[in-house]
Amino acid sequence: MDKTKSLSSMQIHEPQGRISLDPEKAEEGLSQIVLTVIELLRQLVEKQAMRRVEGGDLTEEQIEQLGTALMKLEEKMEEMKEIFNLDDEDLNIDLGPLGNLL
Amino acid sequence: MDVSAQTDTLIYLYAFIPRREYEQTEIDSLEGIEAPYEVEFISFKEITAAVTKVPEEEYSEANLQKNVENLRWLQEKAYHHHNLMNQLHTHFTVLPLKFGTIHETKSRLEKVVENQDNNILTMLEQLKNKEEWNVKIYADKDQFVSSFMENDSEVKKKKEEINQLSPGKQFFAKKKMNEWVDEKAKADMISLCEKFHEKLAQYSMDTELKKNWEKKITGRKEEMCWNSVYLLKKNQKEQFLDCLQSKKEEAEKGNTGLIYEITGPWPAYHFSQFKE
Repeated sequence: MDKTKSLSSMQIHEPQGRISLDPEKAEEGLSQIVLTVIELLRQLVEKQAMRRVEGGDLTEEQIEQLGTALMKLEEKMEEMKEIFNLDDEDLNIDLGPLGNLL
Repeated sequence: MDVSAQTDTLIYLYAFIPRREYEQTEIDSLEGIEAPYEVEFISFKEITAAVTKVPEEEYSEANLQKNVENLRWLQEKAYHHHNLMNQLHTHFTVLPLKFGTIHETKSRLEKVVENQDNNILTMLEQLKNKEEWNVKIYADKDQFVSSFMENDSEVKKKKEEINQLSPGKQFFAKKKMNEWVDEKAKADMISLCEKFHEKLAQYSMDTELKKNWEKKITGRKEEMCWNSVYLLKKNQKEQFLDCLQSKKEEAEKGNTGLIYEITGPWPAYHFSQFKE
């Protein structure tokens, strides 16, 4: 069941490394942009948090809270991707010579 | 037919072949890169050049440059060049020249052959009874990483350690482990390719590493992680091919995420750097 679903979504959403802004499907394009920006921010926050944890200037309790919050954020993000029928590659933009956004 | 008789055509040079081989072999007429001209063979002292006529308006230096930018034109002509070289290679020892090697007149070509006589003959001697094979290895990264995680003892240990942690700490520990796994798997992948390359090199006269192609060029979803060419003796290629075949089967059976692709035989494009 799951397999069929992911297969059909793959056919519709060929990841192209760019945002599709078809006027007929403005909503889809918009949700892709918004989720791409959120995902970028989420990953930045996560990286910064990792740095703080490794830096050793957080208490045990702070690490626990931060970890739990980020885990929930990640789960939420997965749900959103599911809702808007997007996968990781859809939330990445090909920046040409600079490589990929994420 | 004398190639130099007309002034509005140039000479397109495909390859050099040993004159003796040319004289001992019967070959059907071959279509040139520009119809209606056919492939012709011009023999010098010990070397024969495979050429065809091309119209000057398309192949003069400036015009050729312009044409090459037209992808459709380039694709069609490069395909012909490649195909013709394969045909020549089935009959003769071939010193292949780059696509778009043009000479204005037969006498210019003659001068090049005269000047490079020894060089060409040495290369032809080296390439005799040899052929080129290309091996590309693609990696399905997810598959490779998951098979790596299943089989690596250090990963198992780390996972057990992580399970002992509180949920918040688990999050960071998992991220850290994933980063470590990614790096380790990548290093593993390269070392697997290198080891296999060394094995193949044992059966080869010469090898050359090539740049990995981007997904845009390969059109595959798996990333190319190895690309190399091998110069093989025709009568010794079986061992090389057997080695590849068994590796291919082993990879498929073991679900390693590595995909082996072999193409050939090709004329020795990468082992005949001929410069005029």
